[in-house]
Amino acid sequence: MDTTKQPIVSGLSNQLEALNFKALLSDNSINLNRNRKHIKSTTRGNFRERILRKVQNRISPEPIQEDSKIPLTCQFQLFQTAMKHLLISGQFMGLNPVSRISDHSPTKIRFTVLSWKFVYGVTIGIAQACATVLCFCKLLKDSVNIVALAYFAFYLSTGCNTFIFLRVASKWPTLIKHVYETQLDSYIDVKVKNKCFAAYIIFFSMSMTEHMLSLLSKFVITMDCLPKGSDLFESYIIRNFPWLFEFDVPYYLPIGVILQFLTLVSTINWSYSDLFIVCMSIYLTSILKQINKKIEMAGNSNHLPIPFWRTLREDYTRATRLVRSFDDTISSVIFLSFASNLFFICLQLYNILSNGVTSKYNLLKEMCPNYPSGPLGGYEQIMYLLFSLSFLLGRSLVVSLVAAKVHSASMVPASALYNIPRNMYCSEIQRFLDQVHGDKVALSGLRFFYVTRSLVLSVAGTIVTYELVLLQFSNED
Amino acid sequence: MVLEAHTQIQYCTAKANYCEFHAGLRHLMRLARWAGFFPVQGLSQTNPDDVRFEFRSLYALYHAITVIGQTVMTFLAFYSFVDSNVSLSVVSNFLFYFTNYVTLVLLWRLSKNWSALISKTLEFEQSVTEIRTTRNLVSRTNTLTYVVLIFAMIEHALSKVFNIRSVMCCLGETSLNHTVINNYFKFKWKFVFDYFSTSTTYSYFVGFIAEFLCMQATFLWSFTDVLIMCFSIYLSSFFEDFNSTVSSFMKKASKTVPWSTLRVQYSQIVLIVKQMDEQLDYFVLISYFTNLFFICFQLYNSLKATASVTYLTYYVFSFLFLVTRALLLSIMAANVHSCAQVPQLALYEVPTADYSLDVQRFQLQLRYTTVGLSGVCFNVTRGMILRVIGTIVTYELVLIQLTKKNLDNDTSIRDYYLPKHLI
Repeated sequence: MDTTKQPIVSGLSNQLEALNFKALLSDNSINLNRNRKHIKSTTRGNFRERILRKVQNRISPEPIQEDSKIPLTCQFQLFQTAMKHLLISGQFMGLNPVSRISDHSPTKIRFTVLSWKFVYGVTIGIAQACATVLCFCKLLKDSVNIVALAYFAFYLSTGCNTFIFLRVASKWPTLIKHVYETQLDSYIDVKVKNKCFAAYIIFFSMSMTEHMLSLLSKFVITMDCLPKGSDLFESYIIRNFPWLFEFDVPYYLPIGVILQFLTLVSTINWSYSDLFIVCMSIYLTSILKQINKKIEMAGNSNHLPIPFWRTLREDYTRATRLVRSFDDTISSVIFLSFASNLFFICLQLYNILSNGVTSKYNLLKEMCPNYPSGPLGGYEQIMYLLFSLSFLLGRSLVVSLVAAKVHSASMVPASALYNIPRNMYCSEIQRFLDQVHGDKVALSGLRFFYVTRSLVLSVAGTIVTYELVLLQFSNED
Repeated sequence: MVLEAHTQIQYCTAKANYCEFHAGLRHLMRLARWAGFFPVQGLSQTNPDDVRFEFRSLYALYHAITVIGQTVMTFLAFYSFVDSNVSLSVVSNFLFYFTNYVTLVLLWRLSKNWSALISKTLEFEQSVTEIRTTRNLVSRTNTLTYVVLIFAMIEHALSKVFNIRSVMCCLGETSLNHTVINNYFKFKWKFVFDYFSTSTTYSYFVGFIAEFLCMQATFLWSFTDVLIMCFSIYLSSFFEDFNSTVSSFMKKASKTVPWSTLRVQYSQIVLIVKQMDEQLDYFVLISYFTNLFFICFQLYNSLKATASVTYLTYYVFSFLFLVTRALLLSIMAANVHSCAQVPQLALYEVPTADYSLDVQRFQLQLRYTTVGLSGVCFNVTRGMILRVIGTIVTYELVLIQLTKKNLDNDTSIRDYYLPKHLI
């Protein structure tokens, strides 16, 4: 063969390819996203149409579908029924203000700035931001002590949480649309509903118990040291919100009520993000586990055609794409949750290890005129402290482990695929294996870290390191 | 007719020679040239072929004077470090001038290689024109440059104001007069005046020169970060264009995606990333080292702080500026790496009919090569940023603990009012 011709031929084919490439690019049907802004939302329509639709809905409302009567046949329905309690109770705290969030039709789920839910959420967020600033001023005024630092960090993290959930709400309709359009309806696990509900009940009850214990211990302290003839509620409020009342703000009853409400909302907010992450992880893990089950059953059968493996691989790809889509929406929640859990665990552990469970404040309390006046005979503070710390530790551990299950579930197909006998091995299975090994499918914290089991270990190591260093301070004092 | 044709040819050559990189970094490098660090001619020309490093020009003379001045300052800082008791403020002063000097040398090396870099970039841009859709690169880099450098100058001005007011307060003076300025110079530039004889007029001259050199050093401090940020914006814009091309091809299921050409385009981008990284790696290392050190240092100084309003405004502004700059730099540099990973996701969705050898090759290439900016011994990715933050917190805790004893014994009133790290 004439070897001089070969480079010319290959050169020509390269040029042809380049021309072909240019032609494809200049094809008008390929929109290279030169102008993203012209993409309109198809669900909104113009103002007049929206009003007309609203009026029509009010006159002849669509028949209400009851949850228990529909068999769960698609992923979207499963997601909506499982997350209903979680999302609606979140909206009571101003988190995730999406209108008609539990609707069974994805086009009705919208995020609008002009809804009362959004205004409510922003109000709570601004109140928490003001509390943060005031706590910071108090922190600067006094020296750095643990209580002031804890208050500051508490309001800072709950304020950030509220604003982060606003961002989540803006991305929520897109996420729901993706769940609706994902063609994974053969991988439904009905137990997800029960698991999510169980998690919801447990988290909420423990969070309410913690709040009740905190209220109890604070009221008891106030009662112990109450000078005769003064209002219990007033002295409780003034004593427990020093960041507001030390700046010469006069006390009025509505302010007290508002402050109590703010505390309640913030306390539940604190553990809500963990519950949110747990529920989303349970949902995503269920899909991946169903795929794993199918692969395992397929591995046990004798002969399966190549299209079967192709469909399975494509389903796996769709599931990983769903995980990634969820990750884009909730990664900021995960980041904040891990950061605040790390900080508060370090703080609480340091508090307990250096000051002991019976703090100096308890000793002072014994000198108060009405001591002991509470139902637990002086042990309320200790109980609250211990319960709070164990709830915090338990919550962080549960969140890390459940969220890490998404990553573990995505790695399982590999071992099943390796067990496929030689006569069934094809290029599809090879491609599937490449994908399982090469792709990192996990929930992440703003892509700074991926939530896997090794993360749990490294976070624990970090906490121990910081504790050891911090304890050396208190030893020198 | 001939004239028209001639202008047409000129226009075509001018357009063919348009280098986006040259245009994007023009303002930044011009500022560096005016500050005396970058003696490269031809930055303002549209034709990038005119860029060259000239030995015999005014800018080179200015640069030579700057180098001499900075060498003297660094040497004096080193001498004071060796001569006196080691305290954190002396160390920070020395490190400031030393890292500044290292950056100066690195910039000199960059200016020598600048024209070669421009021509390589021009060649690269001409090979990827088909996928280029970003139009606002130049405006982005210019905005970033001016915003960050203006904030840096504000911080420098605030520090001067604060220092002079502290001296006035210390001396009990109410207005700016000769005693104030004299004392300010003698205190601030202690390590300079220790080695010069002092008469009043002479100290003014030396003092003002020292101020000018210090301003140059402060400029260079922020300049490194802005340089890395602009390079990162430039590189990630190409990756973003590539990703949008791939995703738009994938949406059109009817046409086959030209994977072989796409892979070649990707390899071109990776090549230019490597070439730029060769020039930038030491800059990234120095930048991370100085940011790490000065953040720890500023946090530590907060323990010594009085609660006076002037100090608080200055300190909070300075610290926030430092942290924001470091964070912005890290995220933009890590963005190059993240954007380069995105095509991998598209490859998983290639239907079986199109899964050719080219797709496999591309997949292997994406999986086993690390693309991104590096700092000589590490790669700048998002995971690395988290490790840096963890390192800062650990070092901070240890620093506080180790010098807690010194804190209680520190009776020097000068340290109380004028933390020496302030420039």
